[in-house]
Parts: sequence; C-alpha cells; structure tokens
Amino acid sequence: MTTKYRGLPAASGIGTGVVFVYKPFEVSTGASQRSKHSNPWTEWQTFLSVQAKVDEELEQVGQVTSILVADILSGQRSILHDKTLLDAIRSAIYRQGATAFEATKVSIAELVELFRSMGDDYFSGRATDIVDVGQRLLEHLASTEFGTHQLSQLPDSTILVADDLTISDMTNLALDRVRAIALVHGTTTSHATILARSHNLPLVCKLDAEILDISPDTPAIVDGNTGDFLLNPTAEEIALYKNANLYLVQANRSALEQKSFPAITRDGLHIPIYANINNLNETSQAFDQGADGVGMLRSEYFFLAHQSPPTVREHAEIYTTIANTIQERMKRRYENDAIHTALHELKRKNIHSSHLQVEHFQGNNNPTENSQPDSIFQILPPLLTIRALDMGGDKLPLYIEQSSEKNPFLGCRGIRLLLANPDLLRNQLDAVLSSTREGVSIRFMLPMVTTLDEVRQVRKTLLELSQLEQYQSSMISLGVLIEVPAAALMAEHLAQEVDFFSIGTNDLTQYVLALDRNDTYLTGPRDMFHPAILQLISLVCHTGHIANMPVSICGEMASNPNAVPLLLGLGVTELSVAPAAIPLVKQSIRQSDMMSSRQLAEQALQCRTIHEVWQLINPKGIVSLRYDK
Amino acid sequence: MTSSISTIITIENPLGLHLRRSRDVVQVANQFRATITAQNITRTTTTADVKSILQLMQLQAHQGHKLHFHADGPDASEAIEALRLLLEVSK
Repeated sequence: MTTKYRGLPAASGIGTGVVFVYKPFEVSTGASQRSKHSNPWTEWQTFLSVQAKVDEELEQVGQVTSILVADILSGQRSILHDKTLLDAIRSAIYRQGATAFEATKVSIAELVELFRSMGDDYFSGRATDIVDVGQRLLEHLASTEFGTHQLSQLPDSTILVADDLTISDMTNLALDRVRAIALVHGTTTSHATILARSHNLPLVCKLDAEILDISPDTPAIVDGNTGDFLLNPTAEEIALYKNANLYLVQANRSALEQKSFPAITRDGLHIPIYANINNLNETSQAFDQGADGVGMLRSEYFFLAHQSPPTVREHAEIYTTIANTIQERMKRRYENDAIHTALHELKRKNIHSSHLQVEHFQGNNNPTENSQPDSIFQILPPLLTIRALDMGGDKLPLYIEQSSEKNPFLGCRGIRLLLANPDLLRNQLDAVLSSTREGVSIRFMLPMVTTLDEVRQVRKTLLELSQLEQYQSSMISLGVLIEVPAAALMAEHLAQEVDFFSIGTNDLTQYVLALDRNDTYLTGPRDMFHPAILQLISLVCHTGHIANMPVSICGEMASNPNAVPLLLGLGVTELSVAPAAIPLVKQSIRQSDMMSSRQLAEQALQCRTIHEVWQLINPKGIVSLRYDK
Repeated sequence: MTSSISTIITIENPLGLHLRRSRDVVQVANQFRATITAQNITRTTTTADVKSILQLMQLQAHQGHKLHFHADGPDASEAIEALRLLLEVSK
C-alpha cells in the first residue's frame, strides 16, 4: 500500500529511489563510547582547526543570505568563539582525557541543557543556536575522526530523508548517489533548498515528522513539482512517475542544449531572460546558464555586514566588475558561430523585442554602418539592472539607526529608508552613474515604491548628479519595482515618469493577500496565482504597453515554466529569474505562442480561485513542464 | 593603576540583551583589559562574565531590567562608560 505525504514543493524534478534517514550527531551528555587516550595537545589542535573551519563556513553563508539570517549567523559565530564554551571543551580534553569530539559533544550538551532550563522564552530558545553551532563542529570533528562524513557515503539511488540540512551537510553530500531530498523542516528559500536547486535535486519540505521513522531502504518517490512524497509506490505509480520524469529529463536536456540561444516564441516574439543575482559569483553562473543579462542585482547583499555605509567607491567597484563580466560574457557568446547565426536570423526576420524601441542603449547613439557584432548587440543589448539598496524593518545594517517598528514589513524599508537616509541613495546613484559605459545598458530600480513623490525625489537627485561634468554623457534608465499594491494600481501615472516596470511578485503577493511571506504555515507555494495578483499584473502590463516600456517579472513566479505562457499572455515583455531556472524558462518560451498565451491569460483572468488558476496552467497534473504531444 | 568600579545600568534596548545585542556587548567588552562581570538585579541571576556571550545571555535581560556591572582593571572606568553608551541607548 502506498503511503502518501504532502509537503511543500521546494526544488523541482522527480526522484525515485530508496530511503536513507539522516540523523545528525546528537549533542548529548551520555557516557562516551569512543573515548580513547590520546594526546590532549593534538586533540585541542584538532578542535581549533575545526573551529576555524566552522567560522569560515558561517562567515561565507552570512554573506549570501538575508539580513535576518546573517544576524543569527553572526551571533552563532560569537558563540563559536565564546570563552565559556572554549574553557569547557579545553578542560574536558586536558583534565578528563576526552577526544575533541567527545569534549565538544558534552560541553555543548551541558550548555544546551542550561539554556533550555531558563524560564525566559526568548533566551531558552537560544539553545537552538548553541545546538546549531555544536552540530556544525561535530560534523567536522566526526569527519576528521572517522575520515568521512555520513552523508558522503550513501547507498545508490538515495532518497535522503532528514529533519533539515545545513550548508555543511549539503557540501558533504554524495551528489552522484542522491536522487531527491525530503525534509521535515526547511523552507522554499532555506540554504538547503537553494543548494538543492543548483544541483538539480528535487526537494520537498515541511513533511510530517513521522517520515524520520521510515525504515531504511523503503522504496520512495519525491515529486518536487507537487510536493508529494510517496512510500512503497505501486508499479503503476512508478511507471507514471518514470514517464513524467522522462519528459522532464528530455525537456531539460534540450533546454540545456539551447540555453545560450535567445528565447523566441513560436510566432516570433523575442523575450529576454535575465538573471536575479546576489553576488559576483552568480554573475558568471548566470551567463553559464544562458542569461541574457542581469534583471536584478540585489545590491544590499554586498554591504550587510559592513560597519559603516558603503562608499561611492565600494559601490562602483562592484558595479564595474559586474558590468565588465556582463560585457565580456555577452561578447563571448556572440562569438559562438551557432548563436551568431541564430541572432542574425532573428535580425533578418525582423523579429521584434518589445522593449528595444524605448530602451536607451548607449552603443547606438551614432548608427553607423552596422558592423555585425554591434547590430547583434542591438537585438539584445547587455543589461545590468541594479536594485537600489533594499533594506529595512527590524533587520538593519549597523550603520542605520535602529527603529523599533512593530510591523517592519509595513515600515521604513526599501525606497522609504533610502529617502530617509539621502546620502545612502546619493552615493549609490553616484556610483551607478560612474559605472556606465558604452555597450552595457544600466537600469536603476526602486524597491517598495508607493507614491509618485518617491520617484520624483530620486529623479531629482539623479538629475542633480547628471549635471556633474563627469556624468554629462552617462545615461541610466530609472524604473520601479512594483510590489506595493498602490504602485500597481497607480501604474498609469508612474509610467509617465519612469523608464521601466519590474513586478516583484513575492512581495506583491504578501501585500495583496496580507500574508507574511515568512510565515510557513499561512503561506503556500501557489499563493502568487491568486486571481487578484493576476489582475494586478495584467493592469501593470497594460499600462506599460501603452507607455511602450518594458515590463518584467522578477519574482519566484517567473521561474515556474508552467506559469511562463500565462505571464506572456498577460503582457510581460521580459523575465528575470534565478540563474538555475533560466534554461527551462527559455525552453518554455520556445514552446509558447502569443495567440494561445493570450487566450490562456484571458481565461485565467476569469478564474475565481487559486485552484482554478492552478488547474488552468497545470492541466497535466504531476508533469509540471509543458511538452509537445 | 588598577581601579575597580561598580555601577547599575538599565537596559534601554527594546529587545533587551538578545543574541545580536549580546554579541555587540561582548565585542565591546573584549576591547578592554579589565575583567567585567554583571548580574541582573531585576530577576536575580548569577554573576556573568561580560566577555562571554553564553554567560551574558544567561542574565535573560529585557528592556527595563537593571544590571549591576563590576569592572576591575587598568581601563575599568572606560569599559563601564563604553558599555553604558551601548546599553542606555534605546535602539
């Protein structure tokens, strides 16, 4: 009999195999089984080297995560270096002859017990942070002691079941053995999920805790598209999923083969697919995956851990480096013969890309006899979209005055915070202007815009800076990230004063549905398909179309291949997605045509519930990719 | 010259000595040579070494709690002043 669990689909794909339940080393005060007499000095050195590794790990993770998590990690680093903890471990090693592993295990466990027994909820809750630090240390110590990490030695075709996975778990994972991951905790944006996606591993989270008691080697299927986790599937189910998987694999293969080619619908509309990126590394990754440019650089990620506000120079260094990479990678792509030919074909057929007429492209100020590469750059001008520093609420860098807002998501964040700290905005704009160059279009995008006045204030600063002699010829486009419902409803007026729209569907969903996006119990992965959201997208696209300006989607929604035809039909002219999602999104565009996409959108706009929309765009149920019959 | 100072500081930060603020306190305390201890007199706790985040958090200090600080060492008064600056500001 099949047992079926339903969780949150977090990383797409289907995995079939046998269960392996991963239980990290538990921190416990229990008697030692493996105490061995060894040299205390060596044990202490072992501990110190592992401590350094964990420290580095926490630092690295802190650089690429949200402000909220970065703060927790920085607190955990303080725990890692805490003298009380170190004294306890040191004394266990030197006085009781414990190994580094045992000493750590016992010392952490004692502290955890102490914290758990404290009366105050917040402070006793910090036991979690001590456990986190302890587990990271123990995993490293275990691999030092036993030579391997338990996750690096998995049976073939493993369906990995765990409570949750840390970054170090993921880096130790024997990738060639794992088919899919099923977690009790975790979220669609947790570290494990993000890494699973980058390794193309299907992942389902928020499953019932009883999955941790499944006996090893039980056959199972994980469907990362629907969130289903099947135990002991029937032969029929196995065949069904195998079939679906085959389609997925095939679609994936051809998507990967064509990832660097432009995405053109069947009836000849070219849709640029850009990447959302958070750091320098991801710029290259994005182009490896076939990005046509950068649709959203989350600029604040570079400066979260800083003690003082970023200087013009610090900003400029980053933008210049990224712009250089973009220019170089796009140039290299056009040197590829096949892509070169494809792009020429595009130009010959006069295939239209809806935003080219309006985009400022600095390379084409003087239309000379087009040398070939230039004319191709005009079809797809290399693009860098910089989102203005998007910080705020209760989680702020040290250099911004802390406020105690009761409801930070409705508080001083995004553009509101920048206008309250005008130097932050001015420095960033200054740097953005200084990194313009021939051959790369630069867009500057404002988050959390609610009123026209906010745009006007930024425009004013931009104009002032543009008067400076060094910026006389610098040109950037100014646009709005539509994520507050008021901005969507006022799009018609905003369109008069900005150069582009990008719809941030994640925040828009949170504000339209009044759902905290971090609340994993209230929110579901399909919320963004609420008909109200579709109505707003349609409205924004419509006004964007009248104003002849590009309208893109940069939220999670755009990376769902099944949603792509719907978005095209609603009138979106570009998409910006995580690098790993690019090949499939491009593929989905190639399989769409505007006529049926528009019909689909019309039907979707008539839908009354999320379920109806979902049924409409996923007619085939478990197969969450469209493919030809 | 070694000096010894005792004083009472009221925590003004709305979140109290939570993880992040404790981290800041420990970082500040570690810049001084003086030994610094604290006791939460609002909820009567044991004495904590202010240079240890794990001990500091055991004070379970919230906004409005009064902490008794004691510093001993050549830079004791500077240390106490620095901590007062950090803790008596309501942000």
